[in-house]
Amino acid sequence: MERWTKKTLTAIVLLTALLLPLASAFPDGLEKVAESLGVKQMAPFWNAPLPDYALPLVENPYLSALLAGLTGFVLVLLATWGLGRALRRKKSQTPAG
Amino acid sequence: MHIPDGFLDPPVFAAAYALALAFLIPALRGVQRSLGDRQLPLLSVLTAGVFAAQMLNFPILPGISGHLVGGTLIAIFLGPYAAIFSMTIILLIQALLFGDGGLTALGANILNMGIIAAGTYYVYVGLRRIMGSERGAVASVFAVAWLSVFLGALACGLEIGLSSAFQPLGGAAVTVPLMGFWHAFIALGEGLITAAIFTYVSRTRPDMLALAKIGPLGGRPLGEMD
Repeated sequence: MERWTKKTLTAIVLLTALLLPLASAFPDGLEKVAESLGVKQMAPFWNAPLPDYALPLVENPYLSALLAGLTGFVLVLLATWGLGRALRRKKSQTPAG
Repeated sequence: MHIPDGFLDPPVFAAAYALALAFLIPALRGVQRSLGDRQLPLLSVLTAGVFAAQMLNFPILPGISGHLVGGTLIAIFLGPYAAIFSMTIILLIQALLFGDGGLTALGANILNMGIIAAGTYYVYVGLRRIMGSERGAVASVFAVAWLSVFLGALACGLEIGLSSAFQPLGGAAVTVPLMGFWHAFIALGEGLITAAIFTYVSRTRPDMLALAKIGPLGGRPLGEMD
């Protein structure tokens, strides 16, 4: 891994850990519109294991959100890298047969 | 702007899925064809970084918050197909793992936050032809990032406005202007954050911005700060 990649990943994690307690709990634009029109959120069609970016069993809300966020961060990183690699490998196999 | 389950009627979310797939398939082919060794680490870092940034809601007006969407950021670094690829991964993991955005609405969310943002890349290319200076580049990034969220919000307003949950309240004639109004403010955050990251990288690692872009128009790299 290039040094820049490592440094940037570290910086993102540190910055997120620092800014997470300051994150606003206000509704976002779409939630605000739904709220102002009196449209209620329904039960989701799919029950996600970590709803609202919180780890179950972790009582401290900051730690819970941070650990959930880190889990997602690592998953997104691996998924992008892995899927990118897999797509490229598929391509390099085709001409040789 | 993540649409949950229940906001969209089946015909609306089915049409959005079909439209999203019509762009996602060529985007995956484009990534397969053009993703190189130098682009893959940057793409992975950007995608994970955008996921993290989406957790950090900033207050924008009393009682209302927003967060970075990030589609424009990725498109400016690596092109529109890269942006669609990345945003689809983020939205899929958010829906499956965190219940952020409904699975039924996933197609609509990919459309509003990925494909529309990717499309605004061409506005950026056009603006850069007029404004070539460093200041012009930063202004273009800000304007296009703002536009991507504003247009995404209008599309989101249309989708919910066509669905029955919002019908008795006036439908799209109410939801499109309302979404546009709030997101005209929220999108300022998108512009500021995207322009700040662009400025920082262009001063410290300009080579990261000069990598070949993935997408139609030949994937020709757009020379930054030239």
